[in-house]
Amino acid sequence: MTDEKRGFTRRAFVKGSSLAALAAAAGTSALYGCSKQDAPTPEAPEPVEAQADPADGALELGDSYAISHSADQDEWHWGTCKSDGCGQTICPLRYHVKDGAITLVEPDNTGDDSFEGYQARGCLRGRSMRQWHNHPDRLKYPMKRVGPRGSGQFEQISWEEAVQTIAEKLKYTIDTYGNAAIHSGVTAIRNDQAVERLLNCLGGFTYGYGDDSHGQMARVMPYMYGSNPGPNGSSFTNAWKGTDCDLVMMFGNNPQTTRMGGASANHDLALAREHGAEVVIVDYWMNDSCVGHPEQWQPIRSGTDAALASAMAYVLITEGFVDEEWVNTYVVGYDESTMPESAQGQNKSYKDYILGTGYDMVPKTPEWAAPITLIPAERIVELAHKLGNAKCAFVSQGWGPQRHTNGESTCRAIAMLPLITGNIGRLGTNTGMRDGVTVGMANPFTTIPGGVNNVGIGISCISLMDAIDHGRDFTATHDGVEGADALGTDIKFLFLDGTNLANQRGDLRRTHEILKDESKCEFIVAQDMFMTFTTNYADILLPGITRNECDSVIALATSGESIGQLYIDGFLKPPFEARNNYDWCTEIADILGVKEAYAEGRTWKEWQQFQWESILPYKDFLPDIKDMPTWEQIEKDHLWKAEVPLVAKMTDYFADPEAAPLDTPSGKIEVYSERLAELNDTWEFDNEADFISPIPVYTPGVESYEELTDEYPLYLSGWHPRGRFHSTFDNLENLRQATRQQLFINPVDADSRGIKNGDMVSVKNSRGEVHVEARVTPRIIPGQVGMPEGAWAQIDFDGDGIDRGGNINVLCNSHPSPLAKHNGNNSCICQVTKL
Amino acid sequence: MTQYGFYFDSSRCTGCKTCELACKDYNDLGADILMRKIIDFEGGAWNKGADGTWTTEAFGYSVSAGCNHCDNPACAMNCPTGAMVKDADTGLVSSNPEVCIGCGTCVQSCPYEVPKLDTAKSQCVKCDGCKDRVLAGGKPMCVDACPLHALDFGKIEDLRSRYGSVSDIDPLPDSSLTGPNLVVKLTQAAEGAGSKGGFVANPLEVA
Repeated sequence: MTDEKRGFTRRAFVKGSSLAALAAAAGTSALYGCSKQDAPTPEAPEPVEAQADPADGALELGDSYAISHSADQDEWHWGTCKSDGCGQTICPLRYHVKDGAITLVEPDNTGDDSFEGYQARGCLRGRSMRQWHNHPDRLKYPMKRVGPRGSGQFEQISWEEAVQTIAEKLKYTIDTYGNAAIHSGVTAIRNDQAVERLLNCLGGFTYGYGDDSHGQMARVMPYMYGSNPGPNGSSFTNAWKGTDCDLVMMFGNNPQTTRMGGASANHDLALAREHGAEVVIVDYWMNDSCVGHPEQWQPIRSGTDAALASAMAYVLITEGFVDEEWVNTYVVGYDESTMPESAQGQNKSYKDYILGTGYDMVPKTPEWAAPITLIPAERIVELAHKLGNAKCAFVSQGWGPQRHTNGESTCRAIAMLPLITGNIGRLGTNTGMRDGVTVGMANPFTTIPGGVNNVGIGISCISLMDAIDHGRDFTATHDGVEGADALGTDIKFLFLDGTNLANQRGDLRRTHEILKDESKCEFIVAQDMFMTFTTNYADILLPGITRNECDSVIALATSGESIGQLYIDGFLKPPFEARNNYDWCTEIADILGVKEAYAEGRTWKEWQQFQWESILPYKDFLPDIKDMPTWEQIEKDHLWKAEVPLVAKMTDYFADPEAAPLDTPSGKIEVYSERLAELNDTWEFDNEADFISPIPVYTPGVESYEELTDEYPLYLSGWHPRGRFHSTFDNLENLRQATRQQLFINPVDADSRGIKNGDMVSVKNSRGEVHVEARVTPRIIPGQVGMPEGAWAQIDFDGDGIDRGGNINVLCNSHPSPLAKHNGNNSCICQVTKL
Repeated sequence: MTQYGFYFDSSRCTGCKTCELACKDYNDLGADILMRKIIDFEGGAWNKGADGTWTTEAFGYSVSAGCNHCDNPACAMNCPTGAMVKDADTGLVSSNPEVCIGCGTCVQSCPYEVPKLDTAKSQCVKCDGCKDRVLAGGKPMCVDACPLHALDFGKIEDLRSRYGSVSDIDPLPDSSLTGPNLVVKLTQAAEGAGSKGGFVANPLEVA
């Protein structure tokens, strides 16, 4: 996305306003002035032009405004940050508002504000909501594409023309290709299911299963644990609150950044430390959760966590730390004695793999793991001893380790550690999966009911580009199509509902080639607040709103100690012609003759009440929400919070496995899964590195460190940014400067390349090239470089093709994982040179 | 006079910058001016073993640094116009925009690099300890913002009796220079970090 291409919007966006005039008069430091080198649009804004107010009287947004009074004296309203709870830490925020515009954002001030209390203080992103809502680049009108797709050339149209065009294209697509040719991408701004309900009223669509975050773990863990624990384990509060927890051991987990605000895991990790638990954080970089406690960091080579876990298991098993009788009570396939009949007598147990008496016949000794993980063997022994000697260990993993193509095995290998040491199924422990969250019940994401999808066919949400390119060839056994043996069509109509997904999936050039080709996906509708890398490919582009610009019901989230609900009364007016999805979807439904089924006579607010009241009957059965208020009460109070008792996952099962069996075929934890063995035998794989292992093993996977070459000798991985929620907020100047987009590189690798801290560098491989600022730091293991994902790509594909936005997905591949067909693409090989 | 000051707990700070952004929101600051800043201080060597494995003494911690409303504020003492004043009642140091001519002497004088020149206003600006909030019985915006309660604010004698008297942490300048009203809790990694090859790892973020 070049500056020229973005430029089309600027003239339309920069409008005269009283706020802008105020700013000019006050001569303020330009709150929204583009900074010299960081803004997506490096040129200064054009001079403000005086224009007539919009006819509808919507709030005008200024280029900048100053607060000429004490903003904390303004009236305030309860609101929230952005979206699906950035990593499920949904913070209530207090918005100060004057003359319809936000003047200040303050955090939650209710409840116990002591350090151990439940006050959910927002993070730096929440404190940037003023810039986000009032940004001069907000999309203001519906637009249609007028140049080649992807060229970013649009012109303003009326809402009537927009909804009429979408309705006609929907009808054409259904008549020509069938409902399965329609797909709706996930939303990040406001996951309201308005589009989903519309499509279901029209007969359904091909849905996307899973998500970019933890698609592999979510898909594979039920084979081991059953569906009950879900992809999240025990709440992090287990690590400190009245428990015996004396060790927190985390693999690729960085709650500081991924559960940053609110009373979340970030908060609980700090409390666990102060309550005396020893903390070990295994990661390829000294992630933000180690900051201030660097001695707790255990560096490891990216993508090799399963090798470390297996070697730790070797030490634990061979040194007698494992109570095998206890393990065999709960587990199928730990050793030969509990193997299912189909696999008996073949040395296929987990213990056979670890001890080298089965599978590859290699004992998984610390000496075996050392050159793989780059961790000295004696340190691996030490880590195993820490876990073996812990009275009560809280073992968890982030979702980074599973975002390699070996992730489906890696996440199970890590989960074996608490299982074989008995650190599971009781207070103070975890399942070895991601630490859990507690989310309020009612309408967590401000939705309307999505309805019934009569197509009933799903694809991995990650395989969307493949489904556009060759969905007609998609099968269940090759591409993971669910609900049918084959998809039977390419995706021809795509809703991009508040998502920047093209920016967020591996191999951007490939994505560009597929999306720009109008013969492939014939029609793309995008709804967003801003022009993004993804909306650039829209045929019709609609201006969206935030949760504070409509009536919203938000379920607050914590890592375990409280529950809550927030009602937002739409205290901000949508700017210009921006509208709620529900309203324009209702108009499309009307054109296509399904309005009654779609709206059921309800306004958006009435749907919120409907959703709320559909939960109320359950409150008598669910102790956590027994005091949940009525709709009338929450409308008045806005915020409801309640403490919830501390729980650990799978306690019922471990208390009595016969009485509370899991929903696996055996009713037990399946360390050896016959179902996975069968899938491995019957599914087709293109790459020899891909396979589905019935037990957790270490396997390098596709584009592992083993594929490093002289040309591309460094391994690159990505992590969650602090200043963005994935890609959201990358256009906020204050956040961009506070958390600059940088490539972390160890002095060992930087010195040999003549790279100094702050230098611009080229990061390159066969898929692309990124120019980004270097951060030379000992906080990353040598041989490895890394940067946060989500930076907005800035590429002229017809020019030099170099991304100057610092987007890691330019370099990452798009190869799906073997089972879940999800993204194992957070890492790749590369070279780094000084510019 | 009641002297107010800040407390900073470097064992809780994760460098998340919520304090920075909350301050910017409250004080209407753009990307170019920081009144409170997060300094990332990092260092430590890497050692390769014979088998190719790595061990390290790498360290990293963050310092949330604002104005310390010093006993001997270099900014005020060097201000040629008398715009920069230490308040007689609270000990908070702030600049009077009616008097400030934006000469930048305070910017040059402060060893903590706290005052900033706002070129758009042609004035020097700095943290005033959220004096209005404090006088109304509250705490500064940054203190109330910290998700991990790593900051506190209050009468300096109360802070010292509660948290101790340490006011030096690398890479902040020696406290003997200006007598900062700052109490610091040193995390383990911050003990002698300056002598272990530590450096400011994010100079472009705190410029």
